[in-house]
Amino acid sequence: MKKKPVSHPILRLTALSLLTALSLALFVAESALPAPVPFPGVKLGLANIVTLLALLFFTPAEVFLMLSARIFLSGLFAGQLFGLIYSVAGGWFAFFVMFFFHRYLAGRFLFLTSICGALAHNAGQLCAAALLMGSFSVFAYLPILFLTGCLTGLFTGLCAQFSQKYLRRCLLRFLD
Amino acid sequence: MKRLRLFFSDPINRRAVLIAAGLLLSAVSCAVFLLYGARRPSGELLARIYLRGELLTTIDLNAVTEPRLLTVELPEGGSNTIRVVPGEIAVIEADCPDRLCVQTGYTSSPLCPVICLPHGLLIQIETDTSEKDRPDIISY
Repeated sequence: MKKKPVSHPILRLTALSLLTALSLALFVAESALPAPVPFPGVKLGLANIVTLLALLFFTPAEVFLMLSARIFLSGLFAGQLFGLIYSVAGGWFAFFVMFFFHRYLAGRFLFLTSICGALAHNAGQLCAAALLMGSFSVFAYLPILFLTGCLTGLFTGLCAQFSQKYLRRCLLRFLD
Repeated sequence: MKRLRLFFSDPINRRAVLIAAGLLLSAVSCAVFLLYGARRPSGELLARIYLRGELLTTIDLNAVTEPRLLTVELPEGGSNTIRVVPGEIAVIEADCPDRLCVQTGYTSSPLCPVICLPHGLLIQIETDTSEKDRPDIISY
């Protein structure tokens, strides 16, 4: 599924910027929605749809850069730079796990990749919380975060799977 | 059957089924843990009942085996009837004007006390492992 960057770098940069903007818009829209479960740390993670789509069309390094840009900008938008530590821990760990599963499943079963990514995101955030607080009591949240991670990951994964065939057409215009 | 064999002949499909089965198994065990494991009373769950700032009585809600009622009478008239069940406590009857204490319902969390402002009644929950039940951040 690996795509060699054959197209013009500026076109790729533009496409990545558009995806970053899209994920930021999703992030802001999501923060306006009520949480699906009234539990701290549980959210849909709609911005992850864009990361999944980017995994399909871009090289891992490009996806990583896009994800990092999104994390830092969303930290600015949310106005909580302290929460950035959690976002970075969750986001980067989720990226590496999703990259692995994306390869392992040869780019198919996007929803499984998404679920694993959501779980890794939760696990990364829990680890960051444990390190920051210096106690392991936060891992008591693991079961409920595992369950909600499965559900939200399935949702975002299916969103990505259904939207990719429409976005493919307009993204490939940039990439080919 | 043939289609099934065709499906499993692809190594990617086998991997996907393996991952899905692992996820499902973990999810089910998490659900079972949440439903049964976490419900077990751990340690003491103390309900302290205050009237006008004075501690009337303390009940260990985890030690309660069957429901019982107790009534708090005010010196100048007026009363609140408190019902205690295993692990939870509520005001079920009151003759205060707003009856907010009754509408609060059952509580078992230090984050959700039962308060009757007109009568000056407060039921506060305390746990010995109250660390995780305390709010992380309060924002207004």
